[in-house]
Amino acid sequence: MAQVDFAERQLTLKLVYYGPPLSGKTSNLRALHAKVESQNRGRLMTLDTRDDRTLFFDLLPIFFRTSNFSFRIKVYTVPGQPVHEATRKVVLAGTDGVVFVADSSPDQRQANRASWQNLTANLTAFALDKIPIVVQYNKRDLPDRVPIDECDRFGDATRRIHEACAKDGDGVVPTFYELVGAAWEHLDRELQLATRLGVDSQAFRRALAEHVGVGIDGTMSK
Amino acid sequence: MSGGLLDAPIELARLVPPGELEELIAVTRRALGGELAIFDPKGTRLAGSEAAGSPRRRIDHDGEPLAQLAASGPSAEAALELLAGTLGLLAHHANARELAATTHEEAMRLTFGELTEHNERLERAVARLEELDRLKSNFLATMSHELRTPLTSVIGYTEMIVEGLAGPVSGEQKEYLTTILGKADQLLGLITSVLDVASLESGPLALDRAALSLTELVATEVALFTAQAGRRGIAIQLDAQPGCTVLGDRKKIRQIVSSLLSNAVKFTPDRGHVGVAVRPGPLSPHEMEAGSAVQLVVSDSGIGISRELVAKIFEPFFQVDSSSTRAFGGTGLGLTLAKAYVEAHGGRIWVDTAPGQGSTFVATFPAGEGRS
Repeated sequence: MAQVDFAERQLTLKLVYYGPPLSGKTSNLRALHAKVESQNRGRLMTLDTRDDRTLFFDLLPIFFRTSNFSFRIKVYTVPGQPVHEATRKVVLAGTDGVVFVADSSPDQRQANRASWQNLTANLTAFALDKIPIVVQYNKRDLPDRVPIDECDRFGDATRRIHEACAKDGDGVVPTFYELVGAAWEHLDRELQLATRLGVDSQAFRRALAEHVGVGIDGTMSK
Repeated sequence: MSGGLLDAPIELARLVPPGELEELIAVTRRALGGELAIFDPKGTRLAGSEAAGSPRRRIDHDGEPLAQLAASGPSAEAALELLAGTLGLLAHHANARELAATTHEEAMRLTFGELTEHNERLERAVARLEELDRLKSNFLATMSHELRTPLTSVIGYTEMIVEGLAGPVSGEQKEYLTTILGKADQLLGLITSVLDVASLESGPLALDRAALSLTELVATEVALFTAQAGRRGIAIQLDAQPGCTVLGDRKKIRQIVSSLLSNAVKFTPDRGHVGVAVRPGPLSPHEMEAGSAVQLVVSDSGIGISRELVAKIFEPFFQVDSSSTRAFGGTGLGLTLAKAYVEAHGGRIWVDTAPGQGSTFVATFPAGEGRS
């Protein structure tokens, strides 16, 4: 759950990029790091697995102010490999929203599905099954990519899918922008943020678009 | 697990030891001169000299105040710049180390917790299974006893009628009564076997040991089977060396011999042959010492057993071929009991066989208490 400090007028959101191994979660964070204005983000922290360390995640802090309120967004990736289940759970705990980065390669269908099932099981275990999840199909530049109409929508035929090519930065910001907005609206319903902070969803989204520093055209979204 | 594990606020004093801050100041002073000091965001001096003056440069980390800096001297501005940049990097890496350690520790705790829970579930399941197994053995023992008791009356009274104690019996009646007696005996044998297997599973086997001649015991049992085998044209050839003695439980050893003989005769086709030998030999097939045991060898010219099934034939209720249950009868308990009894005597039992080539069962009993 987000940390809200009404006295300090500060809101911290925690977002997690989840998905099968090598689907491009870290590429998403690298692209975000490159696109967000440097005064609105910290260093990208990457913790690798080395020797017997069962660690592997990235953290990108993003922060901006609006209406005398400061917003901080901590964006994490989780390790995709099944063996890092415990680390994945630790990183996922208390998250406010998830980007599920699926792989567009046809031979990764099963891996996508397994990772999705793992995600939903873990969210249920943490009683986080109501938080927003945005699905992104990455690697849309692959010649043999699965056509978007045939992509697995994980049990919800109406689910909106974001297309991305994270290594080139395409589609990364719209995915992020949608998740942050959805996470805000989810929290607003639970904590009445608009009333208590005096910042409504539109104002928040505008501030986000302004500070994240790129145009949100959504052209890659379907 | 609560959220926020990875959200501890950045605190310079926690992340970077004071010694390292002093070292950083010393290095910067050597390069640029002047006096320097590092303060926390609230203005408490963490390192450096009072002579550096009041804090006049604030540095943030990821949008949060990290420290304040003071510097005096001609290169004060350059020193502040260098110090700010270096402190930012130090804090970033220290924070990464801290996050890594915390995550690792939490992941280990989580894994350990899950394993402990899993283990407890398994332990409960094992305890439940053990309880069920005990209940099953008790049930079998009780039921076998309850079934045997009325059967004793059936057999006893039938015998009395056959013997004419209840009045004259016609030839036809006698024939029917003999069939009843035969089947009742068969049923009694079956119930006894079930009772024996149940008692095997309920605890260790008690043996009533005495020195006995295996040569004579086998000869007696062979004589009992000769008539039955003869009706099907099966010849039983006995080759028992005299003086083969074992220290054993007569009843149990008789059951072993009877099981092996019955098995051999049952699975040998009409006009086949069965060989029985008693002789000194090694205790197990891998042992070379020829006289370490007394061997009972029963071979037949029966259907034989495939390699995959050999491992299973000593398991309770196992039949090589399910259709053979009807063709040959039997409970599938004889070899299970024979194995348990042989092993209780410290011996071994094994079979040398192949499909279509008959089988040779060898049961051994340790010598010493063996050959006289």
